[in-house]
Amino acid sequence: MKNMNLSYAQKFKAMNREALATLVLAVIIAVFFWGAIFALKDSGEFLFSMPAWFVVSCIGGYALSVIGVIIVVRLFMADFPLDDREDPEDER
Amino acid sequence: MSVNPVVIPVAIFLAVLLAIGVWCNRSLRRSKNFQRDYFIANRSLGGVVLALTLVATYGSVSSFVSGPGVAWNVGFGWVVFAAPQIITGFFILGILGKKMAVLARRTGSLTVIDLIDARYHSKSVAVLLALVLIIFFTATVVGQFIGGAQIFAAITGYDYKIGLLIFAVVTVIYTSSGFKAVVLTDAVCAILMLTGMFTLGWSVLEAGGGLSGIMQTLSQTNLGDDGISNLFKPDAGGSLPYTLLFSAWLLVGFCTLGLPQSMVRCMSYKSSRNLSTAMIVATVVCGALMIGMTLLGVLSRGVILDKPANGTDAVIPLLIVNYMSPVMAGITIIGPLAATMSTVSSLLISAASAVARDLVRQVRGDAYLSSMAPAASRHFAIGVTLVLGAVSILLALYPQDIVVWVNMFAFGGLESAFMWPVVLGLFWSGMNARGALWGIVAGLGLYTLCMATGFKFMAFHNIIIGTAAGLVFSVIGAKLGQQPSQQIKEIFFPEKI
Repeated sequence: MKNMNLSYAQKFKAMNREALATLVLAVIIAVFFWGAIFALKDSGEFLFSMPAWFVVSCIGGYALSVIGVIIVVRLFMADFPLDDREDPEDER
Repeated sequence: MSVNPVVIPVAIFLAVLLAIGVWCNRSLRRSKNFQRDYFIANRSLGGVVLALTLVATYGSVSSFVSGPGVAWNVGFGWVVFAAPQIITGFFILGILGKKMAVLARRTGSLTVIDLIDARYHSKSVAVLLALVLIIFFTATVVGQFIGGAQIFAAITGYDYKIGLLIFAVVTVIYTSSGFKAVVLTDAVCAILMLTGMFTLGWSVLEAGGGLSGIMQTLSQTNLGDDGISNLFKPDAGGSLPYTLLFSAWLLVGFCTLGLPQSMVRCMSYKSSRNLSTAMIVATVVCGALMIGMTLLGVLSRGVILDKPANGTDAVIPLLIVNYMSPVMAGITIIGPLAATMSTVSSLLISAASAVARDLVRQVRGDAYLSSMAPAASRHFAIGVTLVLGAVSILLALYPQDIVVWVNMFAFGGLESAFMWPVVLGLFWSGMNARGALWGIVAGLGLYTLCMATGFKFMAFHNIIIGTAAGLVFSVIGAKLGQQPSQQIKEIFFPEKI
């Protein structure tokens, strides 16, 4: 996480980037998941006594999403104050 | 009547939740801005609590009972159906989480509908979505109550109505103490859901002769024409069409972006660091719970060999009753009860906010809301929560077909209605009130119509139709409507000016 002092508009640019990174990660996971299923479903192989397609797509996909989200947080998520003004809400 | 030892851990669990409720209720009396405290806990959530409340709200009694039951029946294919939930933990937080937090502060929004109102300034959009939320949330709460009471009755042997009254009344009471009580009890529930999953998993492995023993049993069960067990195939030998499995990536994956009970959590945490922590923790917990419980259902086929007379929903209760000591069973049954109660509390407080804040604002105006005396405002909000809770309990005591039916499609219905107004509203500056209205009516309308008539397109789940129609009509409506005002653009799209 990067610590930053941003203007209101710059925050929105950063947040659009973060959303894009999140979407890309989710698509990568989905592609990996289906790739593993179609590549391995007819192989008849077993890993840890369970079907290999299952272990790679579901357990592997879970591991991939945990690793992926750590990478997204480290590389893309910016650290900035969520408040824009001083006590903006007390007006209402 | 002698006390079944199973209920002792459950009684302790309920007492802890009530204590949290009482404690939060006392701090509520010192509140300076009552609605902000009551509906979003004064934006005070830390990262771990945010993650746990998100997952506990999302994980329901069906994740604990019906899902594993289906997995018992069709095998590993059902884990494929549940697997998109490996992205659910981080997806909404990463896409909407920070923007909603910044914009909620900027616009003073306390509810999702507040924020939608600030974006579109449209009474019809706000009122329509508030009604959709109230109807679907109430139906879901009733469905959760029924599911929770059924499993309580199946395991303890007590009457359905007694079990329902005990845990439903406890849930409604602590929920009436506000959002802070809801999220703190959710965090406790999330941990107990994990505990219940581990004790169940351990018993299944023990009873089935270990993983390899269970797999040995499964490989001889439900053989397909090729001599391989259908339980070992992603499509379950054909009974789970790939089109259905693909659509699961929308229903319980990408489109969970549209669940308002998750969205409101994006407006209630403290800092951007909390959000990053929550993304990681929620991904770890959500994936473990959803993959874990479904896998457990698959493995239970190695223990419970014949289909239970009452259908596959009885698989998990049978495991608990037949293969666990009473104390272990008592600890394990807390899992599904926690899943039920954490979902109910979150939906109930949101439905209450839709009545006590959103509808009042739209009908009587902001001035009326802020002119209410602090005590009156408090009694009103708490009263609405209690009344909605009482109505839900009555509907669960005397189930009506229509409510049960609405509950069946509430999840996809909420996604169809809320996803595009919020996602397009936050990321497309051309989106406007007409687009939002057309998208909601077309998306939710077609989804409802398909569910009511049983229409299917190539065995896809109807969520495909609901969200596709919602997107198309949102864009057409937005193109035909007026551009958002400069003032809205300055708040929602400062980077594009």
